[in-house]
Amino acid sequence: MTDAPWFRPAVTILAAFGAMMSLAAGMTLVERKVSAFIQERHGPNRVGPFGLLQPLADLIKFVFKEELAPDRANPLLFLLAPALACLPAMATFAALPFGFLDGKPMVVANLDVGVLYVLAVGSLGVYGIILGGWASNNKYSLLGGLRASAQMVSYEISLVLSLVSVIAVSGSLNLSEIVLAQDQRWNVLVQPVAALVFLVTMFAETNRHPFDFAECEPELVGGFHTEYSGMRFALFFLGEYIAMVVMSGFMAVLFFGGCDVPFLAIAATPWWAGALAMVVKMGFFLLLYVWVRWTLPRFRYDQLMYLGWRVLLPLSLANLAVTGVVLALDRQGAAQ
Amino acid sequence: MREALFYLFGAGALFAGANVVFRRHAVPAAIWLVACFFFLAAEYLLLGFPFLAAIQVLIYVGAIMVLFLFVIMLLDLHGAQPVQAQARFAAGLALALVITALAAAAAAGGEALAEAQAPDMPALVEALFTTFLVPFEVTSLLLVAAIVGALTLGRSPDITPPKQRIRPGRDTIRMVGGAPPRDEAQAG
Repeated sequence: MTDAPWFRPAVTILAAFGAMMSLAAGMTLVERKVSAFIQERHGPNRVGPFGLLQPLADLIKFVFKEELAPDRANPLLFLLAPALACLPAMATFAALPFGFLDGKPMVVANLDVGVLYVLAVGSLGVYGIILGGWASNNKYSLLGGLRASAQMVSYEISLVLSLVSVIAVSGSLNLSEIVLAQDQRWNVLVQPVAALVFLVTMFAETNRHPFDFAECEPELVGGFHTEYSGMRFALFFLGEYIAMVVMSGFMAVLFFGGCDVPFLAIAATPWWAGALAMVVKMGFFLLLYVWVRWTLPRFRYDQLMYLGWRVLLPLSLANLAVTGVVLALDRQGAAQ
Repeated sequence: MREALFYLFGAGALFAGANVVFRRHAVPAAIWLVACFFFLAAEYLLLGFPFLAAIQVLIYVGAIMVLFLFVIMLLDLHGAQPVQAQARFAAGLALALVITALAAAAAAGGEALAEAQAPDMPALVEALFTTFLVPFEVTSLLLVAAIVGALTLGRSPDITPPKQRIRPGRDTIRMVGGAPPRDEAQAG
């Protein structure tokens, strides 16, 4: 059976889906536990040993909670928006390579335009937020949705530009090949500025602190999800957590060698060690998300736009220009 | 299978495109336009241009249409007057003409298109930045000109009297940190 052509794709898809869902569900618990640790509280500790079954209890609560829809809300879009927030994040997970088995990458879809795929599909996440805000027929929701769309469009430019320099260095759009190109030297050492820009935009694109203007409680009640309840509300959050998982994975793959274990060639690494290295790197960035949340205050809106357009954009453009010149000189030197 | 999917997505693109024109309100029309772009991206993928498909989604769906929705929602066109019947008829007629022209062109140039090979990424980039460098740059210049033109047309000159305009360097609010306003500092 293990030789059948469908076996490996089927196992990969099941494993990827399981990993994604358990990482996202685990992340809800980690977020609350780490928040509690930082604030010197206990955090959830009632359901199961050490509160480990809390995500399960949350799920049961969400499923059985009544789903309300406001008067004169757009019924179709109100229903569709949570799914639109969740789906793109899930779809991007398919392109993340977790290591190499028998010389072939362990990934659901080994795409030649992998980086573009992740960027293109990942940029759709904003639709769930902006349409959810609009369809709710509520001023606060609409303002939250508008802020989110302005923020995500502004920061996406810097995100893409920072990635272009990585692509130029790696010479490929395929995520598995980008990992292989980092066998000797991680991209973070070659492109520290791009890594920094990516790190900042990663927070902005997932609407996390200190960029969570879409759901700025003191001003906008709950922002775009003010009117949502039950499982629809949960889908928004599932989408956010999966987006965090994917962005952390993307950071690990593009800048920190993905499944590469330091001082060990990728070809010589057993598959489980590679996958473990990848998960450890992702875990670090997921923890960073929570850490930053309780360390930095939320930006003011004009500060957000200032940072996006006047700091990050020129920085990533300059980095791209320098990268281009260095690569051109390098190629010229190699030709002579 | 491939051919059936091609026609299915093509029909979907046409249906979505027709909805863009015939919807009364701006937000649903914009969402149908997003759907239309998706169907087109699927067509590119079926034709063997994954790069074009990804760029289509990234640029049009991920960036431009988000801005469209942003502006529509910001202007609150939800309760605005629906487009006049005459205008809709004219738009429908224009759509029909475009479809006919495109169908005719596709029928005439179909074989040439079928024979064209999808270039790989390096070849595409090489062509874009060597052979087609001047057209490429001219196109971007054209876009800049269009943006400047839209700004000029869209700006209403009488919106603020000259006296109340913000004087750069004197009236601007400091973005970060900064010293407190002078009055407060003196009072304290």
